Amino acid sequence: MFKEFDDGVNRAQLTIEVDGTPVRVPAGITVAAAVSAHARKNTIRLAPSDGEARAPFCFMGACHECLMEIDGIPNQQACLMEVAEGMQIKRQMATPHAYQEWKENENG
Amino acid sequence: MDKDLIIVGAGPAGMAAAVTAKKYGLEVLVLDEQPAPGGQIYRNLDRVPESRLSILGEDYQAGRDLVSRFRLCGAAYEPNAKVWKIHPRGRVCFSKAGQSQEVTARAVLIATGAVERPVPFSGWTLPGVMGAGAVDANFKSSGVYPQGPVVLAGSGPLLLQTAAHLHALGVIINGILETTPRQNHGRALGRMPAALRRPGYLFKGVKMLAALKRAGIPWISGVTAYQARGEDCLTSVTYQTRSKQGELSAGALLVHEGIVPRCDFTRQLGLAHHWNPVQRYWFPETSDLGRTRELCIYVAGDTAFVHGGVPAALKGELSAMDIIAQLKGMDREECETLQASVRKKLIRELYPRPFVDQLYAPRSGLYDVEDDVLVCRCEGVTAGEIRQALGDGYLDINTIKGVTRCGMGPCQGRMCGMALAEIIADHRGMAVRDVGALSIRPPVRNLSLMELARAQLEGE
Repeated sequence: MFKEFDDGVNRAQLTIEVDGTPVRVPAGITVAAAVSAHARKNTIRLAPSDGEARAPFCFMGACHECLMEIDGIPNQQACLMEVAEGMQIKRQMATPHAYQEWKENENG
Repeated sequence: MDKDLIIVGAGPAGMAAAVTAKKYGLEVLVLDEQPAPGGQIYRNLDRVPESRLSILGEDYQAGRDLVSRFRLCGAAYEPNAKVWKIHPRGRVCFSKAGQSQEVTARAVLIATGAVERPVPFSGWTLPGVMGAGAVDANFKSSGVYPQGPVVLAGSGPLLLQTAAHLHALGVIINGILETTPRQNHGRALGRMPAALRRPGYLFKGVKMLAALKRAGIPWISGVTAYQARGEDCLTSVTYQTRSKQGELSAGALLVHEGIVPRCDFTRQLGLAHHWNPVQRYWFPETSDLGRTRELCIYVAGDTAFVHGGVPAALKGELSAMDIIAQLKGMDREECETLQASVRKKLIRELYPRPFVDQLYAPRSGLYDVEDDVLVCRCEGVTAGEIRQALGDGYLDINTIKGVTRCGMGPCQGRMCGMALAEIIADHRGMAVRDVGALSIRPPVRNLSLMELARAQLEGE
């Protein structure tokens, strides 16, 4: 869904983990951007209310659609946080009924 | 007291206020939730790679001087700091890196800016649907952008600006769905003479519009409604005008229905608010220096009234001068001379504003939300459920919140509050200003109970 702009300079890179998979990303970007653009995830979380796929809407701290588990702490606003070396990021897909549905979809 | 002045928000208003207050020797602390200063308009400006500047243009780079003066002014500056309570006597609670603390000051300036007006429509929760300004902000801070094809929908200068940026990035734009009603043009005409006193401003808009049309981007005006379609993410956008309807394929739908003040703290403080009938939003009651009914509390920038980035900085300066005069007893004549010169600049900056506000006034029918559409994204509450509660006899906005849970999720009503009030007003056949607004209580940001328990707070 997102593309990276070629800044034409060698930006410092670091490695984060998204759902257990290492991803190389430029330093200084937000976790929300890293997960949607670099880890290529369209769905950022499943809404706990109904299990629907969601993704960031406002990118400025208002909508709370980018909530992720970051370094073991759940419900962090990923659009306000910058990536850091070794950061462990997990998308929040674990609403009970939603998780089942999502797994079935992912497996086709 | 820890400080003379605490400023909440490091956008143009907050930065300008900090620079001014430091110049006159105040002890200043700036708390901002972003990792870098600039607010949304100048977001990430002093860290952005050179190559992005040509895309983002002059209006973005115009903030360079202010950002660097802010960096050098000597104010204590805490980025990544989420304020979650402001006490009327100048105590401010904030969370940083998972720890909460309280700081005190003789004055607090709220400069939290504005956000894109959230408007519910069918499919607006699908991944791929975002704010137009949101996409711009994301590009500034992280250098990423939607790969397209993109459809833009709504009304307002920011819609054009994002379209221009995406076009410069080579993104395929399948269409711009403009919802500005034709009647707005007539209404705005009367405001044109004042706007022409700043011809440069209007010319910029006209130039942007012409460039987009020249580029052959399909432009559909008179759009009365649009919907996002797709299963797990957006695949197309449908739209209607008075005479036709259509569908455009899209990987991203960027919506923009104007800008509204961020009133979480002015509401939390229980300040008086006024209704802007043209732009349909609440704004806190302030003097032109940003004073409120609470002696310690000031409001500046777009939080006080949406005027844009350059005026916001001037409003921040005005508030800072008044605070300096109150706290330090600045020479009255000097203070008035300084304020007069800033006021003069502000008046000049605001000439085009009534024209722009009238031209891009929200369309009637903006909040004609169908029953099956989610209004509250967090708690999954539909417009139908809200109308059901109204039918059951729950009439008050905060009662409806309690009954339906609309506004009780993590975003604390930031996304649904305005729509909820509009839906109630429409259903009850009354004015929105008589419906009121959701009550906002601390913590205004989400905190874990552990963090709250460990926080070092003075308490009542």
